Amino acid sequence: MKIFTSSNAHSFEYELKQNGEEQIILKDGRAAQFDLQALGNGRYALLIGNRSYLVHMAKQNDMYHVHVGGAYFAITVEDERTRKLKEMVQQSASGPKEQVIKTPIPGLVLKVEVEKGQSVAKGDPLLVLEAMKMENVIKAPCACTVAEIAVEPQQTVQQDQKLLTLVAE
Amino acid sequence: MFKKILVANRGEIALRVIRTCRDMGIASVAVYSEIDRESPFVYHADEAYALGGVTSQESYLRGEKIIEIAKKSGAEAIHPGYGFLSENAEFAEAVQKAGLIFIGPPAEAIRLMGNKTAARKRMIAHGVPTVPGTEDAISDPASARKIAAEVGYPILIKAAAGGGGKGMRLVEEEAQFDEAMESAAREAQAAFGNPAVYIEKFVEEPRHIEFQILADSEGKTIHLGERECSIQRRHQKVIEESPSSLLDDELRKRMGEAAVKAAQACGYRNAGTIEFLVDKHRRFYFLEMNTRLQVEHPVTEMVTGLDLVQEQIKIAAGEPMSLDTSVECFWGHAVECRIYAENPANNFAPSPGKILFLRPADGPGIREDSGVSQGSEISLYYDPMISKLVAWGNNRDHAIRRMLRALREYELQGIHTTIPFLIRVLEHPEFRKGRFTTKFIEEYGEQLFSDDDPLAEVAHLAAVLENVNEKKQLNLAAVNNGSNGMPSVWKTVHRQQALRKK
Repeated sequence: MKIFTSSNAHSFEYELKQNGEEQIILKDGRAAQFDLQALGNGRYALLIGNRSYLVHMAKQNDMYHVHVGGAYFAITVEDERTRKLKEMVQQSASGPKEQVIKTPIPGLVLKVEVEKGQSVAKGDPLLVLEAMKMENVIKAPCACTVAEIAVEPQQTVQQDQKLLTLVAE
Repeated sequence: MFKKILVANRGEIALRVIRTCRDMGIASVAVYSEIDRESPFVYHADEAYALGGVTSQESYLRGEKIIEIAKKSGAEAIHPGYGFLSENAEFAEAVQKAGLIFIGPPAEAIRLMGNKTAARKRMIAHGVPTVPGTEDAISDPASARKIAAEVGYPILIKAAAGGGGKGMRLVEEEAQFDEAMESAAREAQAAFGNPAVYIEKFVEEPRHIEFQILADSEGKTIHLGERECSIQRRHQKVIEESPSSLLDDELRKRMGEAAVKAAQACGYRNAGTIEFLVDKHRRFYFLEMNTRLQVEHPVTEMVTGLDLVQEQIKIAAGEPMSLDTSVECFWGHAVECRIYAENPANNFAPSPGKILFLRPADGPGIREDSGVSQGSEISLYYDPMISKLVAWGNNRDHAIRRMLRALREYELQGIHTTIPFLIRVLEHPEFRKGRFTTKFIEEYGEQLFSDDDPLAEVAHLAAVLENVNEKKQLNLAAVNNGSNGMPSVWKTVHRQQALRKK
């Protein structure tokens, strides 16, 4: 079975083979030599061949957050089956495209730059959020119309709270 | 000497000051906001008092309440750290009026240096070089042109009422002046309703280099050499080092003398920092004075062997400083990295949350000044800097390699930090050669933020192994009707592979 991984700038393909009792992982047609030992607390001692690494891994909503050697990657892993399923779901979900903008970080709403019903271009500021003494401008991800504004200036918002609903034009 | 000191700050700097108090046999008093109750600086202090409140306004900026606690606890002096009330002249005065000692400069020095124009005029009067230019706004093109020639090209024309780069022009040579002046004035008029401009010398390839000074209670002033702070992001320092790769003994001597002169010109006492810009012709200009302990003071401590907080406390108590002459030669080289709770992969968005796992780096030559521990909650109400990692080495390259080792070993889970970004900067060939300006991060942005990383393959394979393992465990659990206790599948596979190889 094929396994696909992807992070921000990388994607790789692996193959999982059952060989009697054991499973082999192939990359570019060659069996990977590895030894992954869990150390607890999300820490792993990993050997690839004889190259040695300390890896931190945490899984959150199907995303693997991996830290190794001071670098960080958010990686999704899917096999052939789940990939196909996802494609089918995406195809059937076409219609008026509604998009809910949520808080990326908890903070304080400083300013709301738009009004309900207003059309905005991609990159236009929607609202300004203050967190950790820094102002963060939330911008429109695409050309769209503001369908709903769910917050007010000076309101404190939690992570993933709904801020606005947009409808793509 | 004092018997008890109140520390009017939080986080790493509060803990830093508390540690020196303990080293000196002085009792320490912490004050804390509601959300800082469980912080290391609270449980490492001898006494702790609640300030109440959550935001800075409700807690660490409440000068009156802090003075009241100091008196109640029997503290004789207040150390303000950096930020919050440290450069507040009214607070320094109020402390004095309450019969306590403010561990820092006199209120008049804070006030003077806090006013940019007044500070600049004072420096000029005392022969400290400042960026040449007009002191007052000007709108007559002919006299502006005359001043520009005196200042020497390249020059900057800046809108007097301005900001945000509007009405700003860089003029390389005199032939371009008239046209630039006219368009700058027009733009300034349109944007701010005022065509007046300032003429200022353009500092080419600027580096930010600052000098640490100490002045005792009699006014005897020395400097402890420089700190190179050119690596900045949005005017916030990211990496600092001492000594600077740009200075030689001759330039260091001249800048050090200017720094001492600057401090004396404002009647300075205690520890302070004179910030300079140095251009590509190695000319230096006074930028401003920071009338407090700096965030990056540890690099100076590492190469001089001094404890700057101890010097501050001694000076405030009227005792002599440990040194009576300026430091002209350093012991090795030190680098500091500021670790922020920010996500460099997402435009440095703040990353508040709980630290789930923490094992800071250590080993030879590493010092960490941190304000957090495992389980700490990083709140969005305060500065996102959570720790300062300092590396010491025989020379610059040695210190940088030690810093890289420490950053790669640093284990911190639960929130994003700027560690991956710091590694990129330290690995950059131009940084390694010591060839950079304050524009370094802008200039090399793309290379510093590229996602291309040789460790990607390692991380992806680890994720695949974990994913396959999870599924295997699920299947086994189903087969065994929920009863678990199977050994790691990978261990078995690896053993089999190892056997086969023989």
